[in-house]
Order: sequence, then structure tokens, then C-alpha cells
Amino acid sequence: MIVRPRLTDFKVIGLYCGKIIIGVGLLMIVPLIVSLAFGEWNAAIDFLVGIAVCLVIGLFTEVFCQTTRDLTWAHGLVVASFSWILATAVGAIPHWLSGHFGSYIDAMFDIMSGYTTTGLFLLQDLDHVSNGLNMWRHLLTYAGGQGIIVIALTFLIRGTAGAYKIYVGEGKDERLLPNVIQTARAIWLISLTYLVVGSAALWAVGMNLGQSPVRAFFHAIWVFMGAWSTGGFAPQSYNILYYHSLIYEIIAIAICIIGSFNFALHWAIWTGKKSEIRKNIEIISFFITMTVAMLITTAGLTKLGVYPDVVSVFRKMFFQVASGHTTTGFSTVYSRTFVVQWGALAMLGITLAMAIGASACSTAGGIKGIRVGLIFKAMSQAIRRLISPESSYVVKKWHHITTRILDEPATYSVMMIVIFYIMTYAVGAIVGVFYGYEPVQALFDSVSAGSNTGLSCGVTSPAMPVLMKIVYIIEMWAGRLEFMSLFALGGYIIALLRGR
Amino acid sequence: MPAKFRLNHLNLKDLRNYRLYFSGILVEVLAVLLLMGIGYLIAWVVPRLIR
Repeated sequence: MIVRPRLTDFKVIGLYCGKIIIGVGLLMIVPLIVSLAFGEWNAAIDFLVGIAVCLVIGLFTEVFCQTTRDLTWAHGLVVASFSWILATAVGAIPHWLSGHFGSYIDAMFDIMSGYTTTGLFLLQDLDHVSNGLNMWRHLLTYAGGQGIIVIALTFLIRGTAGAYKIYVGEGKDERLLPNVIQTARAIWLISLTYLVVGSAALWAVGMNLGQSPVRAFFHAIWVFMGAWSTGGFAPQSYNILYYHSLIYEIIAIAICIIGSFNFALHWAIWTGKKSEIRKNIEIISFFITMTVAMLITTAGLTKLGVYPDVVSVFRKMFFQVASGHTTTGFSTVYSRTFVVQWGALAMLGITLAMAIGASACSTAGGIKGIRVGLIFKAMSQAIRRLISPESSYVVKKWHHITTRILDEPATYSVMMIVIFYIMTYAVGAIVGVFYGYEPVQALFDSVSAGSNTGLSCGVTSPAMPVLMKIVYIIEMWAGRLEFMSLFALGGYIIALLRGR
Repeated sequence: MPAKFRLNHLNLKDLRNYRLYFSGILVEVLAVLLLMGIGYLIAWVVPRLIR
């Protein structure tokens, strides 16, 4: 029998969703200050309207959803998935008011792309948006990278039992420290340290390239946020190609790669366990799959003779493959270059990299290195079982912070998530082909959306059909939350309709 | 302050040791440089194998 949710269930969900919406409103204060500092009054009003709406919703839930009931696992999962939709709807207000979007769906597309650290965008005339709006785009991708829930956990939610349930619902299940709120703060500590180091490096290079100190400073902060959160937003429509600088590209891609590491791995290395970097299954898996993707892409580029020398091949190939594999979406080529110059083989190499993605419990998306590593371990275990005597017991170990034994429930859950990812990629590609796009191009952009990467070969544009925009929004959302909390939300809706 | 900590016994105050910050970042940057080295090797070898 399906039990219909009671009023108190909705109060618990509403209360926590409201706290997260207040968090989004408070986050808008930063771009508001930037707008005021640059005298961008229209943008400032847009943000004031956005803040007001967030606070009204938050206060409404604080007043009408007060309850002493504890958060259950189902509540946590529903809050995690539903709050992302709400945060997208209200976060899109300044975007929509800016006049840079053709429709509210387009504005929501960009917000979801930002929160989920995807990097695809439908914003028009990017080179002339206000500094405040640029700050908002990058700030929400930086915040989304850490997890909206992590922000709320850090600043707004007291008590750890319920907090942990929402934290897991957002697709992060690692505890760096015994306490989940301390874990959230540790994630911020790592991110803010890199923010200072990475932005300083980019700022210095930007000034050396001829940018004014203020412009170089903001570009450095924004590019850092896009890189660290593996988001892919950049302040110019030419993305990283705009800077025409090898040093800038190297620093940006290094930040992307480090940003794609598991926060638990960062924590282990930063606290003295340096050998973790060569033993960790995610890093080993990342290095192997990255090598395979680079081989395929280089073969494609070489076959078509796209670049004349080793340095050019390395510079373009490494940047795009690493950008795809870390699910960042930064680019040093034009979107259509993939189609008109790189060809199908190189595009498939990058598609493979995007589909796999980087580490779990990081800012990255995709299937994740740990799952690919475990699948190969499970395959190896199965083969060894076949060639071993029947009485033998084959044990396979894997290492992630601690050494563990591979068991069937772990393999089953990994396979299930991988199948969901493949289905998500396939649905987007089928919809793209339905609307007349070439299969390789439709697959490229669909995988990019589902794995939260953000590279595009030109399919994603304001002119694309509305249904494709909605499918991509759902792909980004589902890919980021890793499905479980979406199913919980779906289950809740079914229980509401059919329960007793 | 000792250079190594047991993970479970940590609290955020332990990370005030900036030497650990720096060496941690250094190890991660070295991993990136190794990956770039592999990339350069592939960009050098693959065209020679195919042509």
C-alpha cells in the first residue's frame, strides 16, 4: 500500500526548501554589491527584485511550515531534488529581467546550467552583459559546484541529523569529518584556499596580457569560479580562446583538473596522506580513461591533418579532452570547429571523456571515475572467477581513502547508476535526432548536458526547440543529483496521487 | 604541530598549518603536470604511428 504524504511531511519539506531559497537570496547580495560598485543601476534593481522574492518565499515557509518533526531519508531526498527546481525558478529572476534572454525557459536553462556546473548557455550578447550579471552567473556556478545544500548546511541549517540526509540527496555521500556540517565547512575551506591561489595566478597573467588591474581581477575571479566548479562559464563569448594565451590556458585547465578531484582526496592529501594520490581508484581511473580519450581524439585530429605540429595538437587536444573529462566545458576552439574541422572520431573521443566525467563528491559530473574503476574491477573479478577452480573464493580490493573489498551490492548500485546515465544521454540524443540534428552532434550535446560538461558543437542555442531546452534542463538536473533524489521526488508525487 | 594527522581525529583548527596547505597543493599540481606530460607524449607519438 502506498501511503499518502501528510501535511506535516509537506511542512518539513517546505521548511528546508525555504531555508535553501533564503540562501539563494543572500547569495544575490554579492552581485548586487558589484552592480552598485560599477553604477549598474538596472542590474542592481534586478537583483533587489530577486532578493525580495527569495526572502518573501523564505519567510512564508518559516511562518507556515514550522514543525518540530524530524527529517526522514525520504524528506531529505525530496528536499534535495525539489529545492534545485525552486532555486532555479527564483534564481532566474535577475537573468530574465536583464533582457538578455528570449524567454523565461532560456533564463532557467542558464540558471540550471550554472547550479549544475554544466556551462551550456542560451544568454544572448554575452560580451555586453553587466558586471553584476556576470558575477551572478559565475557565483552560482561556484556555489552550485560546492552544492547548494552545502551552502545551506554551512550557514543556515542547525543540527546534523537532518542535514546529512539532504547532503546525501544532493549526490555527495562522503564525510570528510565525522560531523556533516564540519564536512561542509571543510569543503568551503579547500575551495576558498584554491580561490585565492588560482585567482591570484590568473590575475597576474591577465595584467601581463594587457588587461587593466580591475578587469583582470574580475576576469580572474570569474574564470577561476568557472574552472574550479568545473562549470565552464566565462565572461566572454569566445570563452578561454578570448585570452589567446598558453599560460592562461595551462593555469585554467590545471584548476579544472584539480577542481575535479574528490573533496575527500583533497582532504586526505592536505592532511598528510600524500600517497593517496597514486593509490586512489578515482585518480587511477581518471588517468587511464583520460589517456584513452586523448588517444582517440589525437587519432581523429591526425587523420584529418587539422593541426600542423606537436605543440598545436597538444595545446588544443589536451585542453578540450581535459575540459570534457573534468566536465568543465571551457573551450579554446569555436563550437562549430568540432563539426567542420575536428570530425566525428575526435568528437567521439571527447564525448567519451564527457560521459565518464571525473570524481564523485567533487564539483564534476558524469558517470564518475570511481564507478568506471569499480566496473573494471568487477569485470576482472568475474574473469578470475571463471578461470579459477570452483572451490576458490576470488576477492577484489579497491582503494579510496581506505582499502575496501568489492562486494556485489556495491557493484549492483554502480551498474544501476551507470545505466541511468546512459539512458539519460540516449534520451537527449534521440530528441536531438528527432529535431533533425546529426546523430554525432546530437549525442555530443546531450552527453554534455547530462554529464554537466558544457561543451557544445553548436546544437545548444537560443534557436533550439523548446522541448530540447526542457530535456536538457532535466538532463542537467538528473545528472547532477545522480537520480536517487529524483526518484524520491517522483515517488512522492505518485504517493500524493495514488496513496491512501 | 605534527605533519600527519589521523583523519578521524581532525578538526578545522588543524588546517591552520600552512605547510600542509602548500605541500598538498604542490602534490596536486604535480599530478596535473604528469597528466600534461602524458598528453604531450600522445600528441608526439600518435601522429608518427598513423602517418
